[in-house]
Amino acid sequence: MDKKEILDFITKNPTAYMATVEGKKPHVRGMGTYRADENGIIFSMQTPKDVYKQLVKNPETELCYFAAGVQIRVAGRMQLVTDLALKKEITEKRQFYKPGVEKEGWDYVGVFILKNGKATVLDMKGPPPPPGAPKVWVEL
Amino acid sequence: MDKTEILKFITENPVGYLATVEGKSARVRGMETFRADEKGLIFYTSKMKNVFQQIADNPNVEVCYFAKGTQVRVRGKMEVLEDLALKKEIVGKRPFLKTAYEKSFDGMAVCRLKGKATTWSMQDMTAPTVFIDL
Repeated sequence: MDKKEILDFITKNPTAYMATVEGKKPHVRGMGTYRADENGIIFSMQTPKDVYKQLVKNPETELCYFAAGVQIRVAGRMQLVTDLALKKEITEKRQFYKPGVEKEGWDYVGVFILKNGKATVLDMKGPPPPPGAPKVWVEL
Repeated sequence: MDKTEILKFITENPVGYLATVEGKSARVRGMETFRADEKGLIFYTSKMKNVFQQIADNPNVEVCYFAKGTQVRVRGKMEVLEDLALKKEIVGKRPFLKTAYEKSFDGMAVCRLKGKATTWSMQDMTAPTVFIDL
């Protein structure tokens, strides 16, 4: 898969398992990808959540997507986005943020973008790669 | 969900997303849970794989399972088991592993996670995080 196919795959299968590191411990949870295109991969979350605090402190993340026998992993660094227009746009689509925004203002919505990530694809429909074979990475 | 229900959920939905740490970076991939019971969660991989090296260097892991609107996360330390009977049992039940371990089981890694679990669902988004020892 090339860059465009990977971004299309993520757009069609937006649930990412997002791994973060807190100190020496990893954490992982399902997250809905808000958008994936040439500019990067965008996520949003409520800022009181642990995942937000973890990403602020250590922005190194990895995402795992899976659909129809294909796994895509994306590694990279999250950047905080403070664009109010984008927060408003996201909140229109993720209405469950509204009560929090009404109470705490727009700081309640945390937005991150993963730019210049690298992706590796594992197609489980084909023969498995030999153990220890180097991964092929695609720049996003 | 109590402990029994969580173990049943994992048994019925055995593919977890296993997060490990490499240096300061997070790693995550899909991983089959071979078994989930009172003794812990059992996983298998190859010692040639990066995931095994990551676990050997830092056994702290978290696994995320998701099905039908419910998410279960389990965190704890992986323990590497050199249990030949268990390795044989796994290969017996996973025939695609046979050729890799025909000559020796040394390259096969089996890990156990005795961790604590927390559950989440869309219907219950605001519930406080509660951990249950597995």
